Amino acid sequence: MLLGVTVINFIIIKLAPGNPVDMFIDPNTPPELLEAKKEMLGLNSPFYEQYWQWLRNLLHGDFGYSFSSYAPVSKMIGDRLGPTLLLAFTALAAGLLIAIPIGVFSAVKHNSKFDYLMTGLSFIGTSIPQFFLGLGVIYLFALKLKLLPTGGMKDLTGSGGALDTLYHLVLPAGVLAVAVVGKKIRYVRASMLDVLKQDYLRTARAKGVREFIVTNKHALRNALLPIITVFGMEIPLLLGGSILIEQIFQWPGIGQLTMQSILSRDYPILMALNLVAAVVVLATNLLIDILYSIADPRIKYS
Amino acid sequence: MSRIQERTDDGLLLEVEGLSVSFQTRNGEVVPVDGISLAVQAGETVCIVGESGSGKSVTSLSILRLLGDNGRIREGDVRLKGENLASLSEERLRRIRGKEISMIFQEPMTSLNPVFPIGSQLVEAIKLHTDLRGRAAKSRAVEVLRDVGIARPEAVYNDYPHALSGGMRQRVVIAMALACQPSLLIADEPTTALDVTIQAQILELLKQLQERNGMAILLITHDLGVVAEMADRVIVMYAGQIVEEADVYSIFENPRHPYTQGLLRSLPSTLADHPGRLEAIPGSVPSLRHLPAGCRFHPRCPHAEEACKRGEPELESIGGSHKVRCPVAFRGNLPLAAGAEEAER
Repeated sequence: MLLGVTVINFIIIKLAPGNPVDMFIDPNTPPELLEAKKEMLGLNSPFYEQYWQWLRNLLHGDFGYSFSSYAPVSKMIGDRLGPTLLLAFTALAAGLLIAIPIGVFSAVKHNSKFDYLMTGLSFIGTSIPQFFLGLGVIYLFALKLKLLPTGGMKDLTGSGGALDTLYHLVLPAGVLAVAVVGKKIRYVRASMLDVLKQDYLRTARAKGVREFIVTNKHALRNALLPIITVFGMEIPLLLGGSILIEQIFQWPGIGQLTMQSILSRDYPILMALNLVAAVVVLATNLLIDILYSIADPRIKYS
Repeated sequence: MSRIQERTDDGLLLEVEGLSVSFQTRNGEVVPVDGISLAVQAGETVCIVGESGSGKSVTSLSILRLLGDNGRIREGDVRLKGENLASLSEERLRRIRGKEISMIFQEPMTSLNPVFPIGSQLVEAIKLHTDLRGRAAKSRAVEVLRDVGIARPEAVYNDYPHALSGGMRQRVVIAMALACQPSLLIADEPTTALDVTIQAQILELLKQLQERNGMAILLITHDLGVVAEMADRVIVMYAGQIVEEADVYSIFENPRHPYTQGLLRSLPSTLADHPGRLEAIPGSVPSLRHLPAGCRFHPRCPHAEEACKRGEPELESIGGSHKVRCPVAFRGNLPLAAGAEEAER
C-alpha cells in the first residue's frame, strides 16, 4: 500500500515540469555546470533508478538530503512536525468541544430558532474560504484591534514560552476550527436526531431516567459512534490541509515546508512528505477502527 | 370464572377519566385518543384491543406522559391511587415511572440501549428508585434476571443486548420493568414481535410474575388470542374511542358492538365446521383527520342505520360492567355474533 503510494508520487513529481537545478541556480550559470550539478544529484539517471536509489536509502532509514538546504530531510520534517501537530490537534479539539454540544442541543431542540441559527452558521463556516477568513481575522484582530499577532509561532526573540505560543496559536487554530465546527455540527446533529428516535430512549424514560441523562448518556453515547469516524477523517485533512493556513500565518509547519519544497522542486523532501501523509492516513484509519471497536460493543475483531 | 371473581374486591389502582390526547402535526392537530375512561383494579389484567390506529398505544403512553414533543394530554385525568399524573410535575412523575408504573414495549430488538451492558441498564433502574447501591444493586439485578427465567443471570448481566435473542431481550425488558416491583405494568404489544412459542412463554411469565408480585397489568394488544389468555376485563377501542368494555367472558360469548363482533368473526378458526374464507371487516380504520360524522364505525358497520350517521353514540351500560357504544346494540336489535365458538378456544 505505502509502496504503491510512493511509486505514484514519484511518477507525479517527475512528470511535473522543471527540475531543482533550474530552480535555484543563477540563470546565467553556464550549461556545463548545470549538467554537472544534475549529474551530482543523480537527476540524469532513468527515473526508476532514481526511485530504486531513494527506496534503498529509505529502507536504511535515510530520507536523503534537501536539494536546496542540504539539511537531512528527516531533521527538516521533524522540526516542522511539532508545530503542525500542535496546530492540527488544537483545531480538532476545539472543533470537538464546540461542535458536539452545539450539535446535540440543535438536535434536541430541532427546528427551533437556535437550531436554524446554528445550521445557518455551520453553513457559513463550511463554505467560507479559509484564506479569506484567515486574512479577515488578521485584518480584524491583528491590524485593527491589535489583540493578536499576524503570524509566526513565537515572538522574534523566541522568549515568550508556552503562553506566547498560545497567543500566536489562537488565530490559525481558530480559523481551522471554524471549518471543522461548521462541518461537524451537521454530522453531530444528524447523528443525534437519528438516535433520538430510537426505542431504547423511550425505555430509559419509562424507567424514570432524567431527560438530561437520557440525552447526554443514553443518546449521546450512541450518537458518538459515527462521529468517531468523521472526526478521525479530519486528522489527515488537518495535517495536510493546513498548507493554506500555515502559509497565511507563517506557521513553521509541514504545510509551509510542503509549499516551499514544491516551488523549489525539492524531490527528497516532497517524497518524504508524501510518505508521511500516506502513513498518517493509514494510521488514522487504523485508529478509527480501533476506537470504534472499543466504543461499539457490537463490533469485535476476532 | 375464578380469574375475575378473586380480584373484584381489590382496591382501585388506576383511573383514567375523560382522557383526550392530541398531537401537533405539520397538517394541524389530530386527536388519536378522544375521551377515554377506564379503571384498573389492583392485581387485575385489563386488555385494550383494537386495530392499528385505534389509539390504544397512545392511550398507554399517555398514562406515563411518554407522548414525546408533539403529543400532549388535552383533557382528562389519570389518577394513580388518587394522584393525578396528568398534572404532576415532570420530576415527580419521573419517580413514578419505573417505580409505581412500569412499561414494556413492542420491539424487544430495539428497546435496549445497544452500547450499555444489560446489567448496567438494570442497575440504573434499581438505583433510580431504591437505596440499593454497588453490590446490593447488582445482586438485585441478577435476582430479577433469574426471576424472569434467564438461565445464566450472572453471564447475561455482563452481556450486551446484541448477544441476546428477541425472546431473551424481552425477558430483560420485563426484568427491568419489574426491578422495582411496580403496582401496575403497562405492556404495549409485548409479544407481537416474537414468534408464537416465545409469545406463549412470555405471556406465561407475565402471569407468573403477576401472581407473585400482585401487580396489575394493562395489556395493549391486537391479538384476541392473547386477550383470551390474559384478560380479566377487555376494552375494545376504535378510532380513539372505547366502543365496548366488558369482562373477558362477555366479550367472547356475548359481544354486543358490531365492531367487536367483526373482530371475533375475523379470527381464523381451526374448527372443521367453519370452512371457507376468513371473514374480514370491510374498509379500514378512518384517518384521524377525516373521522366520519356520527358513529365512527358506521361506514364499516353491517348494521348501520340512518341514525348512526348523525349524532355520536354514548358509551352506555347494558347491564353490570358491560358497556357498549352503539344504540342499535343497546336496543337489543342486533343479531348475536357468530363469534361465540372461537371464544371457547
